[in-house]
Amino acid sequence: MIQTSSQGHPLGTKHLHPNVLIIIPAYNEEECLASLLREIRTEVPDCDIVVVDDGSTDRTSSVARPLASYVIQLPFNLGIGGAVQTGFRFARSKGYRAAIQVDGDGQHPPCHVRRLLQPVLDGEVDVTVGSRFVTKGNYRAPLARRAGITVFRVLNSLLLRRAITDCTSGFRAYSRRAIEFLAENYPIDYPEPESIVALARAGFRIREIPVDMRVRQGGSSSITAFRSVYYMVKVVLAILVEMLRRPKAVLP
Amino acid sequence: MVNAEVDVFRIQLISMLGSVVALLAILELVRRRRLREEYCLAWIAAAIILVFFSVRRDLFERLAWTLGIDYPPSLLVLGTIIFGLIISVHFSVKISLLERRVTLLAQELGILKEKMAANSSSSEEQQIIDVAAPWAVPRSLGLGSSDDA
Repeated sequence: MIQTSSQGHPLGTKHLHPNVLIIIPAYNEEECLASLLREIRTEVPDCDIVVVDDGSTDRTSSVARPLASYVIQLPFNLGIGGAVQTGFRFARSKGYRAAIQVDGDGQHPPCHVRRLLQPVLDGEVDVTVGSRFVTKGNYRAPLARRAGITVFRVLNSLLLRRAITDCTSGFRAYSRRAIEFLAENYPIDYPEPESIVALARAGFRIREIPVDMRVRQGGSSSITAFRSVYYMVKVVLAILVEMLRRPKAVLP
Repeated sequence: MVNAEVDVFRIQLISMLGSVVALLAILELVRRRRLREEYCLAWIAAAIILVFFSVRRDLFERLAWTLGIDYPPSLLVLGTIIFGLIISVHFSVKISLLERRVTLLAQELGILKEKMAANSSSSEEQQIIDVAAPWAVPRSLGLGSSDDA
């Protein structure tokens, strides 16, 4: 399961990542965005960064401007899915080879970016998912979150006949073909579990890579306790509906 | 007996007037381009049906009995509810479509603005970035990465 594949690779870890886009959706993340961007620059200086400012009301864009390669300001809040999809569309039009999503709240440690990207760049898989080790005290409502993750895992395992341990993780790297697919097909709100199902059904090769995640560095989660019920219902319904659709045959 | 007939005629007159006014109101909205023809078709059809059945109340009653409805006005209520449901589902579909298009437009607008800004960014601006964050620029050069993960 854990295949970093950096060792023994002909180019080794010196292999640069030209034409890789790091997509950072950010909604009111002025507090921690700068430090996240600096960290990414240190970890992977050879990747382009696009910050998608999802209609923030704070200084997110001006914080990002000097540190990111590109800052896309959406005219109003689209939701995380709409913001990330903007990144996919941008990556597609710019012809990037691969893209990786790193959330603007600092939950996704940039030190894992290379590990996630490598199998995609090597052409081993189309999608890598950074799965978190849920450790104690990492989340404010760890039980609820874990319960949700379990439900999705069971559901996805049943439907896809394979286990995705953490399908709520947005820490994912995508190949060019996956980018092109997602530029056209990506759910607007709470997109993660649903898009994994869509990707798997379209025939993309997916690999999970264990990573540790951090507590969000600032701002507030889009998923409040109040919305979590809606989240569950919406995602379960969306996954079931996805199963009713004819799979989009992208790959032979 | 006579009174009852007068009452029936009165309510028929009211419903005829009402449905004709509704029909004219819809047509007027279309004429002023406040309502697109696509949407008005259902409303016009509904108004015409109402006018028709106000005039030929006997046909409406016979239709109700044919359908096995003892009390004809309840057919009216049923028809209204079904029509309302169908039209709200239609609107939900339309709103979903519009939302998808608005999202797409917002995304493309954001991307275009950034591309334009990147194209027209002066060398002066580039220098500011250089000073502020030397690591932010050399993406095209493919430099860096001296530290191996």
